[in-house]
Amino acid sequence: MVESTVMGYDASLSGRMELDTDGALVKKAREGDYGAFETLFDRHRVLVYRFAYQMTSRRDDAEDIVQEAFVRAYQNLHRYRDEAKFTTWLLRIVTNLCTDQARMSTRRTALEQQEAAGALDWMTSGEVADPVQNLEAERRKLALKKALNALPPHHKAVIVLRDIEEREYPDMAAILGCTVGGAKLRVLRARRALRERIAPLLGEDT
Amino acid sequence: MNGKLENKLAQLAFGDLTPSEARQLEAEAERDPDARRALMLYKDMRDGLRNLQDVPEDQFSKERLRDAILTQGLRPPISRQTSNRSWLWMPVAACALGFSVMFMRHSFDQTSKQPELVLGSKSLSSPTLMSISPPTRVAVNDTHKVTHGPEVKAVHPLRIVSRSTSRHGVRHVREMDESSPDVLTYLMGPGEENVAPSNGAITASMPIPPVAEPTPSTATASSPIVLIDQDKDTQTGAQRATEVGSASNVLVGG
Repeated sequence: MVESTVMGYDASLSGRMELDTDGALVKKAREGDYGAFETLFDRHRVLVYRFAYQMTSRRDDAEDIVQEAFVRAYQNLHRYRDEAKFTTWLLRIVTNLCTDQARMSTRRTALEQQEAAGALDWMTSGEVADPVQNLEAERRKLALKKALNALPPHHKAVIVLRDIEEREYPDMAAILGCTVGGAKLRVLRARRALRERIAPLLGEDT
Repeated sequence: MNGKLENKLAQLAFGDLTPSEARQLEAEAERDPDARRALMLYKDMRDGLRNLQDVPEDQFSKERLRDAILTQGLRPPISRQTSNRSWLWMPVAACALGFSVMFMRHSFDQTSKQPELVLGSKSLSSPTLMSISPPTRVAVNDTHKVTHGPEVKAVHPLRIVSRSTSRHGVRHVREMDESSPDVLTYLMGPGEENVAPSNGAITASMPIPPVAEPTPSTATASSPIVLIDQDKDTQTGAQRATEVGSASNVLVGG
């Protein structure tokens, strides 16, 4: 029945669903409306993908995690409580998936590091006109990227949420499952851990 | 540089302090070279992290998600609500077990306190026919001692035949009598016959089970039949009883 619901999704409803809130879409999806879930996917996939990419530094890994996150969200829609935002709940799933994936592959191969460096090259190309400045900026970014990838997953998730994605502390607290004060403390610890790792790479004392 | 100052510097660099706190800390950092260097490093970190916001384009599609859900994740959106009280079965089961043990023990005590039927071997006039329904407790004693009910000495040794022991649910309980150290009490299951461990003369004392319903029925050869004499024994004053081996045509009643 669910399969027929999935395959028989009427695309004409998508325009109407764009106006619905996340809560309304979740309710429709719970009742078997797969189109509502696809609308949720369209609405939030970029947000989830950005976070997953910052955590994994690889596009294919990030896409796999996002796909897994939405599959799990679909499977567990009945567990979602309306008091939290849907994006918060979704990012919590992604955070757990990224942490699990990072724990499974703590030691990256040299090839993966090269690929990460290649992604960094792609991001930094053409930003600065002066070749010397470009070289120095590239070196610092590479050091930062290495230091960020060397962080434990819980520190890295905090840095990504706060300093890259610029999320507010209450939002972070909901995602991480802690208090606002706890989220601030985690951010402080993560920043110090990042600084301790990046300083040797830049040739500075800690 | 202590940790507290470093945390403050990090908060300053990332904009987490109020303006007044920020001004005060900046002034303090100007006087401390280590603090100034740490502040510069944190600001570099902040700028570098913000430059990492760009991500490559994703290649998602709804079809890919739909395939993933269909192949690996298809499940009804509203699944069963798992109860958080699944642990309750353990105390409930323990209570039920405790009550059942107490009930069984109580019913066993009541059964054991019933007056016992004394068996004799002499033929009786005007016999009373009874069907003894198991479970029946038979005390095999070679001194003819009966503790409950009227006491009668057996005229003939009672030969009790059985083949089954524990295989048919018979429990053997060893009891000690003051006159004999070797008294065996057999608790019989339904349809079981008594077994004597030796061929010596014995007295079998059976607790009277709940009186059989007076519904007439034809006794079968397999069920033991006890004939209770109306006449009393001269020595003991109790009624005599005897067991009939085969009485397929005897009417059984209360």
